[in-house]
Amino acid sequence: MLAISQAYNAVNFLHWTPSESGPLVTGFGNLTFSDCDFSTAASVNQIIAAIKAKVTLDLPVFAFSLDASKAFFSTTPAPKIVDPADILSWQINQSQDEKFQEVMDSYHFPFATDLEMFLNIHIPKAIKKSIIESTRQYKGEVRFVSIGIFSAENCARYCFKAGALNSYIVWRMGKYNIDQLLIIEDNALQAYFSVRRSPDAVKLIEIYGNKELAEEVAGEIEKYLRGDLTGFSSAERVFVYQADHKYLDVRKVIEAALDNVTLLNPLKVLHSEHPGKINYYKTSYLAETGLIFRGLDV
Amino acid sequence: MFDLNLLGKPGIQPQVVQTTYSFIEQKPKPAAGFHREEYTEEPLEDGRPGRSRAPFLILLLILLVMAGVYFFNTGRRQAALPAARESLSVQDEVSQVISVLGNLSDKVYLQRFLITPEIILANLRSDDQIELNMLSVELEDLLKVQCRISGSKEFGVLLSISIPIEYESQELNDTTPVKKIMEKQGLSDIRESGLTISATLRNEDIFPLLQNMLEAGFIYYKKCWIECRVDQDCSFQLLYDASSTK
Repeated sequence: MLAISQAYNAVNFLHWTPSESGPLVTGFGNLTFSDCDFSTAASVNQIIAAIKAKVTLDLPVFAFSLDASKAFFSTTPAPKIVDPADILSWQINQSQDEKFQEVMDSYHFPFATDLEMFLNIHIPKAIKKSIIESTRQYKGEVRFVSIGIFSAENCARYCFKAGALNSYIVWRMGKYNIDQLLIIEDNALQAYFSVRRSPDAVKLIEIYGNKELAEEVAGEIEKYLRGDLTGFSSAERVFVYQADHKYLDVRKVIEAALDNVTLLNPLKVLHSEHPGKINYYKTSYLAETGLIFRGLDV
Repeated sequence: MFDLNLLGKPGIQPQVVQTTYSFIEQKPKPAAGFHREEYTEEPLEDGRPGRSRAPFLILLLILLVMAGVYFFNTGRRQAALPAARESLSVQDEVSQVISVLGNLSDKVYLQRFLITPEIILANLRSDDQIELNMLSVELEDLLKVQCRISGSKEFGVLLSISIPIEYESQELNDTTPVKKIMEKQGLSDIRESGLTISATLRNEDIFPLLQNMLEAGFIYYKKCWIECRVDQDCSFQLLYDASSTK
């Protein structure tokens, strides 16, 4: 099974096959493209062909994780006393663009119940179509299409048993010091937000969901940057990875020896055919291939 | 926590989504031979765990019935205004907006810009939502600005900016000096009618022109509307109306 995750202009991949002792990673790596376009089957073909040159596909089953820039995000309030379909219907009447539904698919995911809010994710139909068409040409099938940090959350939950925790944070360290974070409490999404790190400060860029909690976490990251943090109190555990192919930022976080921070990298818990020692910092971008482990007890 | 899968039926998704969609031979089929095991409450480990379990690869296929409601909505992001902000003069505010918008990244396109005696409005479009997010943060830092980001036609994301302004001024009775500034700027197709001037201009000329008009004071007249709007051929149409009763 092949997981393909896009982050910026790079495509990362991880291929695994079943074995007696669990999933066996038979290949992983990354490729950089001048333009990571998923909007035509030809461009997806090109990506898959490049990966196929690196790994042998036992089973043509694919999972795709796209960069968040490929989708649009918004929220909708969903008071319990009102049918959410009515709210969404009302909202569409207020702000509908007649072309939008022709070109986009909109998904509404619930935040934690107490927030009474939906996270809306809008994805171009052309991307889904091209992925499906392309994988068919390889006589394969696509099982999942997700978005970067949400796929990494799968890695935390299925590979690191994060679902057993009361609360956890997934921290995606990104290019240009712009990070994305998810906060999960009681197995429900509290917040999805992004921040910009400077040497000793953190600035919130965008918050979807629980604003207070996001501000609390951002405050703790700021404390960390100033060297004043011993561990995160806003969640039981923080899973951190670096989405670009650099690794100094994530290494610094891990080497700070904070009480409850874990490097998120599926290779840490999987058997691999890879010869030699694996640098878990350098390969933490593979966290975003985590969607391929859905439903598995890794 | 839901498993985000954008392959399924659009619409409202359940809190817990563990759904596999198979797209092969143009018809969905279950993922045979896989099931999902219950998770055990084992302690969290950073290292490689032991591997003594029976073959694990079982993924229980649950095709959840999803209530299909094809609704699009755009959520609002209403900017929170900082409690204490340094008070700026109207001229400073307008100048700062012009300065920020005059230095947009290549990924952001101006679609409409309007200055009236009460409000400044700007619509910006981009395919990169993060760019617009950062721009709105920057503007919010500077001004009492309200930003709203929404999805729009042709995949784009729209950032709408509105800034309430107030000033008292006299009416402009002669637009000749305004026309001269436009001519000096090299604008083409300048048309004058009463106290209204329209012209065609290039994207890169918009903000230098507005800055010149600002410095000359031609923005602050009662009944004065200045509007730049992108035309069908992607050129900008400028309307300077010193007699507006809107």
